[in-house]
Amino acid sequence: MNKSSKADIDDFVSRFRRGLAALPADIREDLVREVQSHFDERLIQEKLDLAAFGSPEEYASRFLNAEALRAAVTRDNPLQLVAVLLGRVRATFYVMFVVLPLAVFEIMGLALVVTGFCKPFSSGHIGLFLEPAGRFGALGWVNDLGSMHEVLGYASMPLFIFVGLLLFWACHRLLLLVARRELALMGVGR
Amino acid sequence: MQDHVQSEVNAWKSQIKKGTLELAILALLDVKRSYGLELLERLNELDLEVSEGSIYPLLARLRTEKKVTTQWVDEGVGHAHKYYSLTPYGHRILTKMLAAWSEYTKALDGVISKVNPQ
Repeated sequence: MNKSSKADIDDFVSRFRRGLAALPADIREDLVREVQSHFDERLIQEKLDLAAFGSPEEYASRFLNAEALRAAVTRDNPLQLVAVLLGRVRATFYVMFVVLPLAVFEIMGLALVVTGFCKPFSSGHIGLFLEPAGRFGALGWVNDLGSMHEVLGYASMPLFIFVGLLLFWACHRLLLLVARRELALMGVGR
Repeated sequence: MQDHVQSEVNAWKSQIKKGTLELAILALLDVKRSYGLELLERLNELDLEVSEGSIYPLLARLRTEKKVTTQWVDEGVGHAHKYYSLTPYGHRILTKMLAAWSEYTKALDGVISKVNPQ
């Protein structure tokens, strides 16, 4: 019994082709034709399940590195080679601008929770601080208050704990999504 | 607890499969040329449990590394098949991998034969 239809195949193949747009046309069409052939045969066998391939875009990304590098090297095309090598650097940027900031925010969330719990022990130095003109001064634990004054009082304790836990939870969920996506891209086996 | 043990074992099995799938594919192609779905079904018949979409990125990599070559063949079934064959280089790699695998399993057998599973 097929779990996907001919229309699903057409949609998958079209999005898969778009996902491979960075590849030279002959390599792209070769891969698309192979996947299409697989689907056609599975459809005849009544065993078609496109869900096993994940999203067409993610599936396409599994081919991009190897095929693009092969094309750039075998064709000795300097522009293509630079583009492919830059694409590999993108993974580093992904870590720097997505994973690292999320990890930092997660730690900040935890720090905010700890700060909230410390409020009874250092009430004058923990909270939301404003400048004399009413502008924002600081949030959290402040050693040298200068001319700033605290405005939240003990309300900062539950507020810091709640916001800190929320920040930690949200960042953790996002990092889990990132990790699951990585696992899916590496995926072998059921 | 039992679920956790099973998921640990499943993750470990997945790592083994990931590390040995290339060897299995090269070995199957050494016997006869095959297309992707044919390879996938053969691997699953052997209980190597490869997920449907995983085979093509791996085959693309093997082609990039010149271990296999491809040829489209129209057998009149309504859609052509892309057949993969081992190259002489791929055959040399397979021979070395088989020797390394044999050495490794022999060493591992020496360790696990001393374990009492009770």
